[in-house]
Amino acid sequence: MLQKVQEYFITLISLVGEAFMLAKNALFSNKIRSWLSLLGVTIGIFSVILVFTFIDGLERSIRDSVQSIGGNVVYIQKWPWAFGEDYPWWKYLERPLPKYDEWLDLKKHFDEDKYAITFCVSVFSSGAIKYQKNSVSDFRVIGCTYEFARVRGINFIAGRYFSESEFNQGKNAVVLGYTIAKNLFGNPMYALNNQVVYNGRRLEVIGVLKEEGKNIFNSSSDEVILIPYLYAEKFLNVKGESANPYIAVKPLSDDYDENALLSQLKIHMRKIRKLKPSEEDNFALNQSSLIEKNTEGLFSMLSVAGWIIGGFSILVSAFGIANIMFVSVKERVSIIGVQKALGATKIFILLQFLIESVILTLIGGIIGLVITYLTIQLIQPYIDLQIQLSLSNILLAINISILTGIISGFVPAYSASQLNPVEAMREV
Amino acid sequence: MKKEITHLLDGLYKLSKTMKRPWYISLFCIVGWLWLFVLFPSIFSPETKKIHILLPSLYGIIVAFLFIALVGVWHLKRWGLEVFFVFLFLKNFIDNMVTYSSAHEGEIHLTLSPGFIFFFIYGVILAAIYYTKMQKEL
Repeated sequence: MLQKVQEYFITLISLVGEAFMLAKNALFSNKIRSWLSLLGVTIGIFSVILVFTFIDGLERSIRDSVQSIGGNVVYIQKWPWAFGEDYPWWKYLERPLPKYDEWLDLKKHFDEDKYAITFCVSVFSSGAIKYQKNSVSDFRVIGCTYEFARVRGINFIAGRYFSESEFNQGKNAVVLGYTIAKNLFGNPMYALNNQVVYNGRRLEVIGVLKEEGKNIFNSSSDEVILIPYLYAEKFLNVKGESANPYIAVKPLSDDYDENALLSQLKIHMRKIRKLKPSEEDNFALNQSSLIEKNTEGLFSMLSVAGWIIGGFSILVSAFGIANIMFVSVKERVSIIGVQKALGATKIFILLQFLIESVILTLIGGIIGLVITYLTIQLIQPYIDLQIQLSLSNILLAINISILTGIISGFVPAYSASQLNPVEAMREV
Repeated sequence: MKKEITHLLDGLYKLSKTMKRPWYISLFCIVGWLWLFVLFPSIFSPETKKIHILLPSLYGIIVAFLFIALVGVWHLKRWGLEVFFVFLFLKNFIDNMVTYSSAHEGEIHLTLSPGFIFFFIYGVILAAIYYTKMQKEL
């Protein structure tokens, strides 16, 4: 039994080797015809894999961006993030803004161990933040409650976030974004325990955020400063629409019911705002996870576009490869006759031509992959998106190439296997 | 009217007798190849890849064998119809496994896609009429 398997294996290896040599001959004996056909596979694989690589990069970027604004977070805001057609914007205009007192009320209804709830305002800097002779302007000031760090999951390179007691005291503590700390102190690590001046007030630096870079929404935590809300309200205009106040709720474990959380928030917010049953909600529940979900349609469209561009090229090349294989069979009819006369089975002849066809498309696919890799390396420095040729896309390209080879080569290979040895021998 | 229908059926019967391959087998193969052509982008879509890295390869093998099986049916070979049924069931089984793994725990989805139902019924009818007349060898 083992000997038989061994024999089959050796036959298969010799068959693949022979098919490879025949494929090489087919490529070099009819250079222009063969390479033009392979070019179709190459272009097809290049188009499809390049589009899929871009989709992967975009998806990764969106996922990271959503994580940077807090994954699984529900934002209670005045305006919804997405509007349907014919939305009544005048109704939204009349809605009240979320308030600090509402945050206090809402917190009472949720278990602190299960949910982190924060209230935030975000205003653009009205002046520069200064340290000695250095100053930085054009940044965002975020006035927030002590649970902000838990909701956003922020990382520090030095120091810490302000505590509950520091928040309740309205302490003049500040956490600096990476770029601001770097521009003020040269080395962000030197910023800790120093005092900076903003709007004529002295703020003590208690932490510096880790460098994050810009996300897909073109915002970055590198250019923000975080101060306790109770301190911010003393000298900043935090009441108006420009402060963009919001309450954010984050479940602390993955084991939670999203719909139950949304309905709970809705019930409590309606109660807090004393809305009658007949009245519509005057707040929006925005979910960060929805951004990811909403982009799925876009990615499907992009992959369809990739297939339209690459698919036709692969289809045309499949016909080209089938043509080459038919010619190859025609040229080797006499050899097939001799092989059959010497005892070659139908499956042996079939596999011989099928492997040859697969090798041809595989060569085209590998060239397409190499071109895709080179293109990515060439354009990567000029785009603001991290793209890389992943293992799954390499596997995909190889799959498509092999499948194209099988589909385009099977009919010629089958017709070769069905040849009558006597009639084929007459061709000698 | 009845006479015309009988005349038409008689004509079709005579036509099928003169042709090597009955028209309903040709139709089966052509519709099958078109179905595989439509399946091609969906089996290699990013969504399939996300479920499992090897799933497109598995679907690729199934599509390749379904194509080969249809070539066999086209050449009126028994193995064509046999391989077609095996891989049609295998595809539906994997479709169900994928749906099951992505569904909530405890829910079992036993779905039969319209493609499966169509080709299964058509295949069974085809086998009942013509399987014994098909060639046994490769």
